[in-house]
Amino acid sequence: MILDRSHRQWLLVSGILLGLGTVCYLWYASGPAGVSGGSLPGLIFAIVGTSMMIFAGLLSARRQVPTWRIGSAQFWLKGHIWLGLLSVAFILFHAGFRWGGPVEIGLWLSTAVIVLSGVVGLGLQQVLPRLLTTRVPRETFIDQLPYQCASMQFLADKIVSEAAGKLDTSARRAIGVAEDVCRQRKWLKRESDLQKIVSAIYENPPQLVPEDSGPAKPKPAARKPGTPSPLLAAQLAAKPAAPERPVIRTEELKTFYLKTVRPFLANSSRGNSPLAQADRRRAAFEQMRVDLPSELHGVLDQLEQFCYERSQLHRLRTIHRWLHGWQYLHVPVSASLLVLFIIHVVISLRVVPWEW
Amino acid sequence: MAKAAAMLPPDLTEIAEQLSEDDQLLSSGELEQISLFAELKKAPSFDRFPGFTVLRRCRPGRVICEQGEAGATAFAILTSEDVVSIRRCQLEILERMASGELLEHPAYEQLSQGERTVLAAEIEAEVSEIEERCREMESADESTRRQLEQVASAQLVVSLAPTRRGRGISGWLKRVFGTRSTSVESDEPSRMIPVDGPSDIDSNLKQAPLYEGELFGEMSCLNRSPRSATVVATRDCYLLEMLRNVVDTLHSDPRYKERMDAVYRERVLEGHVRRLSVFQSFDDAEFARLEGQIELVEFTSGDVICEEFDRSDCIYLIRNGVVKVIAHAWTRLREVEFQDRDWSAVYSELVSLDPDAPGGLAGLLSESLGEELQGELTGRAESGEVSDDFNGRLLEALNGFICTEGIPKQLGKTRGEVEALFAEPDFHDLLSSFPEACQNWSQLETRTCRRWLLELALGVALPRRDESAGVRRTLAYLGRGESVGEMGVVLDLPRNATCVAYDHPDSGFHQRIPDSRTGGVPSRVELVRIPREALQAIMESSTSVRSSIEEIIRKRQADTRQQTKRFAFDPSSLRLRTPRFEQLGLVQGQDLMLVDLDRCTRCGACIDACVAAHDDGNTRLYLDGPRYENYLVPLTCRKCLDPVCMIGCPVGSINRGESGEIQIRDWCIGCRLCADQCPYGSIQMDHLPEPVEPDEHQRRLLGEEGEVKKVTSRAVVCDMCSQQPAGPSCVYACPHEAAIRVDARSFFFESSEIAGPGSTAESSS
Repeated sequence: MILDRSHRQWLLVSGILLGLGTVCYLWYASGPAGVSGGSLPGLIFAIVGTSMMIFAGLLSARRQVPTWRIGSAQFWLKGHIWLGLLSVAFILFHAGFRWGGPVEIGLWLSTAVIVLSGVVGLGLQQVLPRLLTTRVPRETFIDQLPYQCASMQFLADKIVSEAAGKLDTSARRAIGVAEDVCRQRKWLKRESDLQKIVSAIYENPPQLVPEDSGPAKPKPAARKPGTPSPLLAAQLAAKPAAPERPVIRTEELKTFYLKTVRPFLANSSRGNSPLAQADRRRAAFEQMRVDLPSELHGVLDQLEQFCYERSQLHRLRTIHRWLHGWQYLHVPVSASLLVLFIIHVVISLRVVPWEW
Repeated sequence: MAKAAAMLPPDLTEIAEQLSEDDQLLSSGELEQISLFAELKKAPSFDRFPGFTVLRRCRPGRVICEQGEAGATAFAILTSEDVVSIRRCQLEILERMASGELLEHPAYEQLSQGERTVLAAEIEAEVSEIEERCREMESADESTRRQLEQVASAQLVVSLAPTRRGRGISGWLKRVFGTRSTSVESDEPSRMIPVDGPSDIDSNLKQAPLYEGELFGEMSCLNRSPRSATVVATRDCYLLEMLRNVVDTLHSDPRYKERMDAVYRERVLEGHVRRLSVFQSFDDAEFARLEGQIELVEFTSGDVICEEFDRSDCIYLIRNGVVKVIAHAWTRLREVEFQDRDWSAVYSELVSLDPDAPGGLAGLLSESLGEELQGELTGRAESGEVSDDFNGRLLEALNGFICTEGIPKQLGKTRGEVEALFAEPDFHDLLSSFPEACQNWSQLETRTCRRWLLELALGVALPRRDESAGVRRTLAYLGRGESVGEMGVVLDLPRNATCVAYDHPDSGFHQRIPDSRTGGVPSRVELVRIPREALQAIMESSTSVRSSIEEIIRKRQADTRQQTKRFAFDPSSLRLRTPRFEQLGLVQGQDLMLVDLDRCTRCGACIDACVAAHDDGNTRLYLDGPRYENYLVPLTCRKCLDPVCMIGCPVGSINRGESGEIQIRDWCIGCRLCADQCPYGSIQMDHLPEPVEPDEHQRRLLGEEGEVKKVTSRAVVCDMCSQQPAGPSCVYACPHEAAIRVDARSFFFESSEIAGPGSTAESSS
C-alpha cells in the first residue's frame, strides 16, 4: 500500500489517540501507586492495545470473505497499519516500559519482529511495484509462470526442429500447452493437426489423439485425391527436381539449444544462469552466430528473444519474492503472538492479585 | 430407395451436410411442385438457382441441425401433398425416360434403365403410402391433424440451473460425499427462449414442435449465426435445404410474407406480446381487441425505426432480426433546442442564405421549404414577427430536409466531396467513419450529415447538435421477442433512444458484396407495431388493466431514478485521444477496469474476490492485457459503448442488465459467438463440471443410436457484481487502491461526470 494523502485521516486519528494515551500514561505514572500492568489504568491500556492488535489481526480473516460488505479492503489495511503501530505504544503503557518475565519477553520479541517485518514490507511496497512495472515490461501474473515457460519451450522446440530436425528430448511439459499455443496461433485446422505438429517436433512424441477414436467421417468423393491425368503425369515427370538444400551444421544448433537454451527456458531454471545476464547472453549468442552459418541466424535471433523474455520472468519472480517474502515472517510470528498473549493472560490472571 | 445422387452441388458443398442415401437433388420442374414456391405471387425461375437446394429425407431420429453449430442454410418442411406432387412428377420423368425420351435430370440421367425401373417402383409404393396419410389427415379432426402434421421438433439441450462449484470446506465436503441432486428448473417460471424457427421454445419443455410447411434456420442462413436449437425429425419427413438466395426470393414475395405473418400471428404473437409487463394482465377478450390493431411491419437494415425525442406513438416488438438502440443519436431539430435562440435571426439567416452556398444547399433548402412557407418566411424576416405555429411548420420543413433519403449528387458522390463543402474539423471527424461512397451511407449517417450541412450553412442561427448531445452510446442490440418503447407509450414520454434496423456485417449488404445472380440483398428487420391508441383504449375501459399498468409505472419510475447517469460530452476530449487509446478500444469502456501498476502488489486479492463472488467458481478477471500509461487494462468486461458481443446470439441469452452491465443468461448454448465477437477477449467459455446432456424425452426422440453434441461450456462475463452492494468485488477487495473501475473518457481526459434527467435504455430489459 502506497503511503499517500489518503492516509492523512488515519495519521491524524492515530496521532490524537497516541497523544491522549501518552497524557493518560504520564498522569497515571506520576501517581502514588506507580505503574502496574494489573492496575485498572494498566488493564485499560492492555485492553485498548489488545483490541487494536486484534483489529489488525482480523485483516487475514477479512481476506477470507472478500465479498462481505464489511468495509473495503483499503479501510481494513489502513486500520491494520496504523492501529497495529499504535497498539505497540499502548502495550508499552500497559507494561510501564518494563520487559517482564520470559513470556512477556517472548511477547516483546514477537511484537518487534511483527512491527519490523510489517514496516519493511510497507517500505518495499512503496518501491517494488514501480520497479516491477519499469523493469519487467513483459510481466505476467505469477501463477502463469509455469505455463509461460512451457509455451516458450514448445515454440522454441518447434523453431529449432524446423531448422535442425526432430528433437530427442522429453516433451512432457511442452505437450501440456501445445494445444493452447497452437490454437492461439490458429495452427489447428483439423483435430489431427496437433498430432502432426507434435510428431514433427519430437523424436518420440506422445499419442495425443487416441487411435481408436472411431471411424473418420467419409470425405466427399470430389475431394478424394485421384490418379493424375496422363497429361498431368507427364508434366510432373518433366518437371526438374528441386535443387537439394546445402547441408548446414544443424547438429551444433541442436546441441546448443538442448544443452543451454532449453534448460534455461524451463520453469525450474535458476536466475543465476549465464543466459539470465544480458551481457553473457549476448556473448553466447554472438559466439553461436560466428560458429553457425547465416541460414541459422534467424533461429538464433528468435531463441535469444525467448531467453530475454525468460530472464524477465526470472526478474519478475525475484521481485515478487521480495514483495511478498516478508509475509513469511510477519504472519507466523503474528500467530505465535496470539498464543503467547493467551499464555500471558492466563498467567497474569492467576498470579496478579486483584488490587483495585 | 436407390441412391440417386452422390455429390452435392458446389455451392452447397462447403456449407451443408453431404448427401445421404435418401437425399436428392431436384430439377426445376420438381421444385415448382412445392407449394411454398407455387403459392408465390411471382413464381421464381428455378433455372437461376441450379444446385442451391437439396431435398433431404429425414427418418425419425435424424438430427437435421445441431445447436451451436455454424449454419448457412435454411430448411423448409415439405407438406405431404408437396411430396406426392414431386414424386408424381418424378414418375412422369422416369416414364418418359423409359420410353426413350432424352431428358436432363440431376439424378436420373446417371442411372441405368434397370435402376430407373426399380426406382419407379419404390416411388410408387411411397406415393401410395403418403396418399394414405393425406387421407388420414383429411378425415381427422383439427387437433389430430395438427399432431399428424408435426414432423420434427426443435430441441434445446440446456440446463437452466446455474453452474455451482463448491469452495472451501463446504466444497470439500461436497466433493467427498457428493450432493443430493435438486431440480432447480422445476421451481423456475417458464420463459420463452427465442430460436431461429417459427415459434419459441418453452424453457421448461425445452422443445417446440415443427409442422409441415414451416421454415426454420433463416437467421443462420441470412447472418451465419450459429444454429439456435437441435432439430430432430419425429416422423418420416422431407425437408428442402436451401441457400440464401432462395430464402431472399421467398422474402421478397408478398404472398410468402402474408403466409409467414399468418403463422406468426397464430403461433408466436400472443406469447411475445404477453411477455411485456404491460400486457401481462390482459384477459383473452382484451387481448383479442388489441390483436386486431397490431401491425406487422418490416424495415430494411440501416433504416431508422424511430428517433430519440420522437413521440412514442407505438411499442415495437422484435419478430426477426436485430435492432440497435443508440442513445444521443437524434438528428431532427427540436423546439427545445431553440430555447435560447432568436427566431427572427433564424428567419433572416434562412432568407439571406447565399444562393452560391456550397453544393447548391440554398436551392435544396428552398425545395424543402416550399414556395408558400418561403414567402411567409421572407415577410416575417422583414417584420421580425415570431409565431409558434409558424415555427412549428418551419421546423417540420427543415426536418423534412434532414430526413430526406440519400445525399443529392450535387453535394457530392463520395465522402471526400461532401467533406470539401465545409472546412470544419468536427465535420471531417464525423464523416471519417462513414463509408467512402455516399450511396452506401445508412439512413442515420445520411440524416446526421444532412443535419450538419444545415448547421454549417445557417451558421450561428441554428443550434449545434453537439452542444447538447453526449457521445453516441449503443444501449443494446435487441433480438427476437424483445421490445422498444413500452414505457414511453405508457408514461407518455418521448422516445429516449434512437432505434436502427441493424445491418449484420455478415449479411453482405452493407459491403455490397456482388452476387452474380441476385445482387446485394439487404437484411430485414421484422417488427410488431402495437399502436399507443390501442393500449390506451383498453386502459380506459378496464380498471384492472389500468391499475396493473400504474403499478408497473411506479416500479419503473423508481428504477429509472436509480439509473440517471449521463456522461458529459466534451468534444475536445475526442481530439485528445491518442492512437494507442483508440487501438486498445479504451474509448468503449464505460466501466473500464484499470490496475494501477505503481500501487498493485500483485497479491491477487481482486481475482480471489471475483471467484468468491460467483457460484461457478470462475474468475471473470484476468490480470493480463495491454498497458496504458501506468495502468494495466486487464481482460474483463468494460461495459462497452457498443457491445458487439450482443449481436446475433442465437438464443438471445446475452443482454444488458439494469445498470447496463452485460449479462449472460443460464440458457446459453455455449456456441462461442459472443466470446468470438468480443474484441477485447473479455468473455470466456467456462467448461462445465458436468456436460449438459439431452433429457430423457430428448433421448427417446433421438433413439438408441442417435447422438447430439453435449453442451460442455457456457459463456461467462463480468457482471460488475450488479447484485452486490458497493460495486464490483474486485475493486472492493483491493487493499492497495490499485484496482479501479472508470469511464475511460472522463478518467483519462478529465471530463466531468454529471447527473442528468431520466435516461434509461428504452428496452424491455
